[in-house]
Amino acid sequence: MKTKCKLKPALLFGLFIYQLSIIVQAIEVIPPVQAMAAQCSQCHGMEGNSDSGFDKLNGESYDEIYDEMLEMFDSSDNELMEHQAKGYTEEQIQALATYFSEQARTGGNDSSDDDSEQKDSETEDSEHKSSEDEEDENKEEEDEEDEEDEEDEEDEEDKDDD
Amino acid sequence: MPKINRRNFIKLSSATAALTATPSIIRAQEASSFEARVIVVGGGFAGATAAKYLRLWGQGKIHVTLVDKNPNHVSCVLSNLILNDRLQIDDITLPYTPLEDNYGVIVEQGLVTSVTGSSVKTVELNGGTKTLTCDYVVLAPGIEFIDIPGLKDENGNNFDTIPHAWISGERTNSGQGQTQTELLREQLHAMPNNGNGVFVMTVPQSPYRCPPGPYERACVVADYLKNNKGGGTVYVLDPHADITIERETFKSAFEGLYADIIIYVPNAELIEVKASSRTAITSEGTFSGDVLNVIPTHKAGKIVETLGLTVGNWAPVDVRSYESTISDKSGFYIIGDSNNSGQPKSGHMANAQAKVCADAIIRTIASKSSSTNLVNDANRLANLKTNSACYSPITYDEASWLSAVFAYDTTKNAMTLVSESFGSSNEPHWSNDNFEDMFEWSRSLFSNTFR
Repeated sequence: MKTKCKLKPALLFGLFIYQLSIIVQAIEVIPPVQAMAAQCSQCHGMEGNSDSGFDKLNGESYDEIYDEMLEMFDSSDNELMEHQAKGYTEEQIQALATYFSEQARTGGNDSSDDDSEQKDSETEDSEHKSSEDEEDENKEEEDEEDEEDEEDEEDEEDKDDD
Repeated sequence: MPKINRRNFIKLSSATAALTATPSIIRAQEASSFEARVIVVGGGFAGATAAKYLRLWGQGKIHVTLVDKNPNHVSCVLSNLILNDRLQIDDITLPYTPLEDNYGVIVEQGLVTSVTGSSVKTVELNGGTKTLTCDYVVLAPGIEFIDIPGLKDENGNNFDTIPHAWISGERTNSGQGQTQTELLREQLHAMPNNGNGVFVMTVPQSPYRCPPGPYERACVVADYLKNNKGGGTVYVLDPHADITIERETFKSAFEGLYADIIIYVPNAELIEVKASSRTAITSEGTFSGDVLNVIPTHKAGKIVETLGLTVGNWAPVDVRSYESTISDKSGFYIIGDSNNSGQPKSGHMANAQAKVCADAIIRTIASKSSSTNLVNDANRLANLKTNSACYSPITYDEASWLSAVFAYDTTKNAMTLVSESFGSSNEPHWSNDNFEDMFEWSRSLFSNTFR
């Protein structure tokens, strides 16, 4: 009797996996925004989950990413990222901000299935959010100060390492 | 001594972030239900990224094999820092095992010698010691050098005495010896200590791998001679009329910082090499040195030419997918330095192109069960981007940077430079901050490509 009890969940699980493999059969394409966002990962890590000294993008708020990208887009400062930002349109910056703000903070790409489910909502989201942007412009200064603090902390950590 | 992020940089080799984040379904290739098989030829920045992203984005439905003649990749990115001992060769040696462990890429060591068949392709390794079959072939073999009289002879080549150090991991003594980069380092370090040493180097004809690279090397070598050999002379023999990239930066380094060491010779087309006397004969005169570093002009990797995928020196591709545009060559994709897409030939850019290619192959597979061509989806093309960012060491602890973003242009069916995205460091042209950032950049790029 005992062995039977142990087998049952295993069988059910097997059946579940089998059915899953039938449902998720054909290969799915990744949404264009995810492919575009992958162009950031040479420096900012997969799905923005940076493992270098460059900024993590995953789990940042939409406003933080959008405001910072737009600031760099408009800036005349001769800095590397200020130039990179100019390679994208405002709509693309919105789409990227939406995408990265939806990525989990600690993990990278948790599940490709999750990503495909997000596919349709992503483009809608980016349109929704664009209307909120103006309200958040006055928050910019606060955010900047926060960033400076963070940078200082990082610098100290670097010194400790060396 | 100025601080360097090398320790941080080395730490990345044990990074396991990617592993924990990868769903188990793509870590192993179960033979259950593959929709397609892809063979990636060449495991540099282009090939490794393509193999990784085909697995990462392919939901475990694509069987991916990466074939490289070497058991690991020695990066050209950062390789000039071997010359002045800022890094050791192990620091830029990138194993393929994380691609196997984290994404289930099958790695085969061998040299691809032929590919036959059309819809199903047979890939032959080492002249037939092994054959593999697949539906799509991604070619990422990097570059091949164009012969120069005197550099090659009937017994092979003279790269064992005249190093190019431009395919950094290529080994001397028919593949048995040290790497090209280590050989050049050895020759540089053996130069005279009295300030009278002469280092002669040639710049390849555009387009070549790593546009700032030759000028960067001249700076690293000049800095080394200045600090360790009581000075010396570096001849930079350039076939171009002027410095081709980061002009203000390198002009300022050549004419300012290294004015007493670097002699820049424009319009100097290399005609012949005398290997025994380390002499370069150019259209602007004859130059001999203690070290002769000839970086010959490039063409597409050998296998690309062998398979009839080139027109002139490079492979023409459709930048929406990087598939060959030669009529009977569907299913062949050429990414990285071997194609003629007009984008810079760099490791960062190779990684960028590989992601576009991987996405396109997945869309090609998905298009089979769809009534539309998903590769040419309007929303995809409107958001099709690649980018390049890089740093060049100028002194022992300072570097410059360069930025460029490319966007798809529907009317030209080409990737075109977004002009405002193009820029390089100035005021100052080089700094220690940039030098620090260089290691963050390379750490991230290596990780995104090989882990």
